[in-house]
Amino acid sequence: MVKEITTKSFKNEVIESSVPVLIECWASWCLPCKQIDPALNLLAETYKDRCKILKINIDRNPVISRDYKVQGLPAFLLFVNGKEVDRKTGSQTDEQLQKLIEQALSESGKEGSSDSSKKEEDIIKDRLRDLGYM
Amino acid sequence: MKPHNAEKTCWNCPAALFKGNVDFRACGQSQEEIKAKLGEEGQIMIECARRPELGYFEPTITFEQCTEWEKGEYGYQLKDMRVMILGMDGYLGWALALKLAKLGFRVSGIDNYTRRDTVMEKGAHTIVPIEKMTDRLHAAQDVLGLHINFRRMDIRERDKLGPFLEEEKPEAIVHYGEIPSAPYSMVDVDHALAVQDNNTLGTLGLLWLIKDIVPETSLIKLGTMGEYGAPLTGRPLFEGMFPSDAILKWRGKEWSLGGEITPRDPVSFYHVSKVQDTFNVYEACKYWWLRSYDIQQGVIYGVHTDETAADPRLRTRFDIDEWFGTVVNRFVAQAIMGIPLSIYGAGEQIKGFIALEDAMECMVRLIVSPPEPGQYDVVNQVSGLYKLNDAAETIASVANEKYNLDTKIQRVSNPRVETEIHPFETVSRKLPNEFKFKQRVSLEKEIDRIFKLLTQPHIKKRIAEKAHTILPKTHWTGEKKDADIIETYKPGSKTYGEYQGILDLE
Repeated sequence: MVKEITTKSFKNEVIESSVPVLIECWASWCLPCKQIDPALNLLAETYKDRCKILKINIDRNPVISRDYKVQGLPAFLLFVNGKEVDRKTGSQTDEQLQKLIEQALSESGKEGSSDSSKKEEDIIKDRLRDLGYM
Repeated sequence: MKPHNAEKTCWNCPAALFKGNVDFRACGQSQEEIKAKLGEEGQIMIECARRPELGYFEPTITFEQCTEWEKGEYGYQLKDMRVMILGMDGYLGWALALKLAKLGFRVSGIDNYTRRDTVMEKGAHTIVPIEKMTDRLHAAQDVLGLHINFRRMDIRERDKLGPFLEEEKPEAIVHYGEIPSAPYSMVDVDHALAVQDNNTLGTLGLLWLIKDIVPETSLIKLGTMGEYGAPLTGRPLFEGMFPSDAILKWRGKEWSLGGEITPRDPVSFYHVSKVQDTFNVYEACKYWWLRSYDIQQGVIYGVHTDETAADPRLRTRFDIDEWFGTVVNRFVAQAIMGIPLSIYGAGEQIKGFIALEDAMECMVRLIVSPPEPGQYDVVNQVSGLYKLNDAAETIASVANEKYNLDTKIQRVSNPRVETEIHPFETVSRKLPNEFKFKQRVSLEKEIDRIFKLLTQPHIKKRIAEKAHTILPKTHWTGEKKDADIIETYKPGSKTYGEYQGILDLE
């Protein structure tokens, strides 16, 4: 089972994590969120100590949603050294999620990776590119 | 083992007062400041309608921990939980009303007696005699000591239903208040309009009432497996939505279909009304944070629940006419009358089925385990798959071996427009896994119960009076004529296609 965190445990589990973290922002009303659980469980098993897979319910933790400007669900936020380096919004295939994690792992292996974290602007550009608008 | 709903929390409980305490738009559409009441560490705080002494608290109390939820036969049950049944006079509605009241729920209900009227319009009657509603309610009181609050009204009479909802403040609403007949919706334009008006518009109006009066209630809404149709590709019939590993591939790119509502392929204007309901209910959950389980029920059959069998005055109706008789129920009546069991077309059509008693059990499990605000979920309520040919063979063999009848099977021209030979794979994982439903009744056992009841002389007489309403006359072309007889044969004398459907319960 993928671990569910809250606003209270966010700092400890995500910001201070020594390994990359993939966190799914979800809500009970989000149909794709309900379907993704088996894929996340599988990823958690595959990556074990190399990358943490977590979940956070956005309705129950509105502060996180506000701070990270989560505007659509499911949102998969990727953290390396406590900073958000990438995100994907909307349902993802197993392969797409795996690719996201692999990228994070290669990022975290680089020297000074905390300085290379993406700016919000870059993240939006990436998302638009994903959607084929750029 | 803990009951299936032990770990559910205030987020699932209809007594939790979220309104005004939670800004459900914290995500997404709204970039406004959070209006929710937050604790010192950013956690949501709410109040409880049943336990005001708690003040503001974090909604993390589980059903197992809460004193308002008590352990019962079907998991934790909210004390005196108020449940309203729409369509309480019907085949399912009456059986469920008795079952819930017996379990200690506070039951209310409405009905406008459409079913009694439409069966009469066909020139038929329920072959298991039922009392007037007033007498049914008295019998429930006399025999089982149950009080049920009933009002006669149409779900479309919002000026009546609104005040009744205000009065009862149901914590769950079971919506059986629809016209459940494919052929009835295909009789002519007036019937098609009547079905869609009652079903689709009735449900849409209901959703607005729920939003304004009881937004915390859970709507347990009856759909049908027939919404899905039978795709010739053999694609599984998922429970409403695609799983996340379902992928759309197109022009070298891939997308996850996870969570998207699966295609529907209804097979009559009645089934279309159910598909429209699906979208209306889903949207209402999304816009207003209502909560609902949409039940895609298989073909229902049977006579027995413990409560309806307790006294002849408590029996639920049982129809056998071409409009309202479901296939297994109709076959048993035909066998008793010596009429060959009439299969439409090739008879290789595969359908999901469930017995009345099992369906009622599923309903209780769903009622005590409400969805969260905004949650729309779909369950496929099926306990077995049968080919019509095989169902006919099973019923004929029980009839001939156990009841000494000489039953034959007959193929007639198919009055419907449907695929007669098709693959069929159904996923029905949620009820057995999340709600811990276990099938209690096999097809053979329930068939036997139906035979036992229907062979009683006074009921046999009632079948004989209306036997002429069994064979199909309503064609999807709009014509009214007898179906042509293709062949008549003895059970066991024919070889059918080997393909069997797949029911995925894991």
